[in-house]
Amino acid sequence: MAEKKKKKKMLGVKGQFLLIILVICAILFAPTTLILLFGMLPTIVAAFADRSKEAVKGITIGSMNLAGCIPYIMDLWLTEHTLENAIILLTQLENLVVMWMAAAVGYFIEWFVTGAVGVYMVDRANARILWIEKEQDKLIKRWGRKVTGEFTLDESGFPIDEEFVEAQLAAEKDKKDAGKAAT
Amino acid sequence: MSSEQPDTLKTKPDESAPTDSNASNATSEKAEDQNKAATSKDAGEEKKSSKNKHSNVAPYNKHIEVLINSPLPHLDRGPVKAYKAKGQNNVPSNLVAFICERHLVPRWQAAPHYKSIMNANIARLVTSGLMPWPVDNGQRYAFIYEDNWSQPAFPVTNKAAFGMKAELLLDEFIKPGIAVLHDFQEKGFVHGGIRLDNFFFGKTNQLRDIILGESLCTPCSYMQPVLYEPIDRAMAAPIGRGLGTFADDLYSFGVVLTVLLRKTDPLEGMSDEQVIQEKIEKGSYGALTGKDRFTGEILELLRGILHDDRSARWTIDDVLNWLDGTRLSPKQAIKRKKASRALNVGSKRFVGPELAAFYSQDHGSQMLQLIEDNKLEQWVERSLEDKDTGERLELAMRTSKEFGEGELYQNGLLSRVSIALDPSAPIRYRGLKFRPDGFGTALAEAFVLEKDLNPFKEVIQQNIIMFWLNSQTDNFIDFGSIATRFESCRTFLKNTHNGFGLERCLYFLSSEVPCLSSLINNYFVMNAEEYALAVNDALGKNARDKLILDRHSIAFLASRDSKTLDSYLIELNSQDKMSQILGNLNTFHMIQERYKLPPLPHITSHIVKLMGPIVDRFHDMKLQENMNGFFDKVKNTGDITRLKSVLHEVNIVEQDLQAFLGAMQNYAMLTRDKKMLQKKLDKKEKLGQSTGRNFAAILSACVGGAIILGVVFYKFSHASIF
Repeated sequence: MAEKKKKKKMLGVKGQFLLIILVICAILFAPTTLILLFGMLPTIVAAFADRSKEAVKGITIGSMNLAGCIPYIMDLWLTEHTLENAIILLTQLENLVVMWMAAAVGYFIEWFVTGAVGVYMVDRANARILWIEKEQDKLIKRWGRKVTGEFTLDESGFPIDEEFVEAQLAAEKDKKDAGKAAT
Repeated sequence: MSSEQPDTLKTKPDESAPTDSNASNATSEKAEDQNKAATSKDAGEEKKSSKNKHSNVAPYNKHIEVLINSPLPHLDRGPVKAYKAKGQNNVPSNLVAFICERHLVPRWQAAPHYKSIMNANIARLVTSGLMPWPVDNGQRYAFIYEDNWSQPAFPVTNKAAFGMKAELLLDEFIKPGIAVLHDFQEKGFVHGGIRLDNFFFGKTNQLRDIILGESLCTPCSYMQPVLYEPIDRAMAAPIGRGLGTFADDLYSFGVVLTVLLRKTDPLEGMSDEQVIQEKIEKGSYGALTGKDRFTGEILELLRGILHDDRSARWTIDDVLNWLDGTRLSPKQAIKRKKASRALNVGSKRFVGPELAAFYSQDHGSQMLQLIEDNKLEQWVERSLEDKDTGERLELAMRTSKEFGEGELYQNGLLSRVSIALDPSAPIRYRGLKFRPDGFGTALAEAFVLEKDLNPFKEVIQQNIIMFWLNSQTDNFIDFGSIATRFESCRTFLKNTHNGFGLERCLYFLSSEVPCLSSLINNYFVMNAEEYALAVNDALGKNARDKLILDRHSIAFLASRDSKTLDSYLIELNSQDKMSQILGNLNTFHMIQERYKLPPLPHITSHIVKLMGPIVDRFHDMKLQENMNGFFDKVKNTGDITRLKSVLHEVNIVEQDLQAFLGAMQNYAMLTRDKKMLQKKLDKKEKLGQSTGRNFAAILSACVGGAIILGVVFYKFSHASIF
């Protein structure tokens, strides 16, 4: 098991190759890497904290967080792409606030859309249940109560103990009448 | 009579052709009128019916009325009653109507032949056909004759001997009589009613104006006393004598002539059995003339036409030649074989096989004992010394064993033995005495009078008629036709379904028998068209809960109009009620279409009534509602085609069941869906979260992407955001 877990955690040749490339890129573009590392911190936290099955919180927050980081990366690229410059950008608090606020917008989108869709889905389910009940009433009206499958039917489709069924239906009717009278 | 006149009474049969005797035309026109009346129900007709009720007048058609309160008992033919009738316009005013009884099948098919005979010495048939009969609110078949018969020509007394002069009779009676018989032969008509009390004075009380009365309203020879029938026919029951021949008419004429000539009645006070016994022992001529001695020409004639051997009997041509002066030597009577030692059967002693056969049914047990003890066979071999009879007897005993055991075997054996002893005699079986061509009329009587039908069944099943045919030596018998017909009957009897059985045999063997269905027992129906109209009328008068087509109706239609019924026999024999109703509906639809019948409202109404419980058994309440609505619209229209358009599907019940099962599945599926949704709603807070997250990710990615693109574009255009 331990071996399997090890094997699972171990990257493949391609993965290892990509990791090497990424590390090389990170070293080569160290200023950009530095801004992304600090600017995208909420995304990294959210991605690791996401326990949902879909695990798409990282994408939701990350998209907006990246959009918040991009202006500073562009500034870095268009001026001097140096570590000093990157540190200057990071040490300005308002820059970090903008980047993290963008992540907060991502959080808001996730909270709002998920809630809205949930409410919509509940409404739809309720409407569907009402429709089903109406359809079932229609079927009962057209085919009689025996269509519900509550009774044992003979080969012609009629309740075997018709007297029993009639008595039951009469009792139901009495119950309804009594209910109406009470209201 | 009920307070409401039957619809049939509102009709005027044969209005356009008052003297047309064609039965079928008359009946169809009448039926059409009848139905018009049934549907229109106008007040004028009701008034007329009401008037008829009070005046005791039954209208035959527009021109003829039968006066129910003026019976003519001296013209009655047993159960068939005669009534005075009135004619107007071109129809003679003085008429006499014979109202036929249902159990005595009238000879309506012979009526056109009879009517075509132009002879002043016979009763003139004006018309014949169905007519409403208010006495029992039904229909009757009627023969309407011109009433030119004043009174019976020969008063009937116990002593049937008139001692008239041969010379007088020759010109005044024999010549006109033979002319009548010659006319009958030319038109292919057998009278079957030539007897002394059926002669009437015509316009004068002269013998030459004498009129021979009618014979059509009962089966052939039904009214004939045994005296006037040849031995073989006399031994049969009146109802089972069958179709006669010209030779039989001539024989009857010979008997009448003998009675007129003889001075003494040697048969006076004798019973029918004794008369037959006398004829067998002495021959007809000897028995009838007794001590009277005739000589010369008249002797030749009497011996010739009273000969007991049909093939040796004079024909009309022989008699005509005799009248022309050709003289023949007198015929000698049949020499019957006599045994040297008498056969003792009970208290009787027989020296001839004919009489032994004649009394065999009366002494059944003794005869059976004689057969079992081989005494009968020994008597035939040793005393009678008749090889042919011996062979027939042996065959009778052998073949009887092939059909049944116990009582059935004994009855069959007794019948076969009587045939073996006297092949010319009628078939005798458990009290039945009939000739094969009289089987149908005898069966019809048994059906109507609700007699025991088992003997009839057994006769067919035991193939006794085939044995009788094989024993015949008479060349006049149509062997092939009779054999084929009864073989078909055996096949019908093997099938117990509707449209077969003894009922089918009845209609198959006798084409003149009306439909004996209980629904129309007051009607006289002879074809499918009349049947539908009568049923419509009968249903209008009496409500009924059963299906319309019963065993009799189906057998009747299968025989008379097989094209109408054959396609629906399977439905009519189905165990499924719906199929049976559809079978009824389809049959009447076919009849209505084929004969272009007017609306039949009582039939449609009845079928709708029958459909009620079936419609209630449909699962689909919408279908029930639709059908009931449609039925309400259609039931009184009489349009069977329209009714059929809804009920054309034989498997409509099956379709309904399948649709119901589909609905049940649908209901169950909906219940499942509902439960699933309710389960999801139980965890409302989680419902839609997954979809929401995915949706939020997509939305966020899109918005983020757009912002990034905007920023990049802005930066590359040398602008600064902050």
